[in-house]
Amino acid sequence: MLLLVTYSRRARERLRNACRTHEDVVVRRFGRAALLAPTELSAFLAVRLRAECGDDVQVERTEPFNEFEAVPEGVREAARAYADREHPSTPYSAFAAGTDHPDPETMREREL
Amino acid sequence: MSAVVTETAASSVRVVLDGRRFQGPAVDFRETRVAADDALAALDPERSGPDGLRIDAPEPGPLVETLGPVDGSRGADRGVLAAVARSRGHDAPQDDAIAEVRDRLAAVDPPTVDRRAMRRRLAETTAETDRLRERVAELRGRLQERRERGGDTATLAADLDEATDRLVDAETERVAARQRLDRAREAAREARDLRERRLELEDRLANRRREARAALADRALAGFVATLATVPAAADGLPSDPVAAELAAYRHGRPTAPVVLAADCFADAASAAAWLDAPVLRV
Repeated sequence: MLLLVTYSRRARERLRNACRTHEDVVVRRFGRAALLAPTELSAFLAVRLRAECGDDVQVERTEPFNEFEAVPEGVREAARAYADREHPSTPYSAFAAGTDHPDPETMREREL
Repeated sequence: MSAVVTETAASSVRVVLDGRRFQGPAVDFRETRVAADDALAALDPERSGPDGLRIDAPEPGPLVETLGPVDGSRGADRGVLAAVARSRGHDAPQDDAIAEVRDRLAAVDPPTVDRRAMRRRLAETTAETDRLRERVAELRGRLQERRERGGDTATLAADLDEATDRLVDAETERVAARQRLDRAREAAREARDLRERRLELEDRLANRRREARAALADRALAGFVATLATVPAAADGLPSDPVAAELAAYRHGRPTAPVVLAADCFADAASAAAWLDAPVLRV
């Protein structure tokens, strides 16, 4: 899908108008951003907005997130284990210390 | 062509139309080709009216710029009433805040990095790399086959060498294009904090301006309503009548430039100028 984020009043207004006119390609709207269906019409709107508003619009292409495809097992397991932790106030770094779970610094450095 | 000029006590306007001069508080263009937009264009120092028309009058201030001609197209909304109040010399409590936000906004100038050419370059070099990779694979396959069959391989081997060299070059260019775009994207990402900041200021400015308009409109409202009741009978004088509302706004306000009148509600331009207490250009 295409994620459009606007950074000026003019760009925001144009995105709003485009979304109003082409409701069928709008998957979701968030204030000054919108997620558009992966269609040529969405791409047309994105390129047009880029041409009109330059850097005041950010266009990103998104894809569904499948942790079983994209995420190493250790990271997945750490996340699930942390979500199930006994003491909600334990920060993750303390939770991971002394276990096999990766520490936040290591994860930060590793690209997905 | 002629324009009818009538003298009254109201301050006057000087008009030159096709070499002929007219002067007075009211100039009637109805017998001429001058339309409302022409008159407004001729009044505006930043624009110019049609050839042959010159109007000597003070520049249109905020009231004339906001309200435009009396033709019923705008009526008197909050923005008009705020302009009326401004023309009467009122300030808004938000004025200092507005000036401050404007100054801060002027100081925010996020850099623009045009990445279009870089995106195109990356797409082109990627396509070229893919094409050459296929070509190399194809030549390699054919060469292998030829060798197995024991044919002459010299030409094919030379083609493969050349394609391989070109693939290496293309790959280098693709990597360079990728890196250039990545760097530019990184710079754009950093500039977005600044853009976000600017958007906040733009929103704040719009809010303060809206508040200022509301405050100013409040100050003008009572006088405007009282004036509306005195609009001559040709307009029905109801608040819903946009022409009556525009007349009342000009009458209650202090227009600096002549009022461009494009509606029938006075016997003639002179009585309009007298009632409005301002120069009138009747079109």
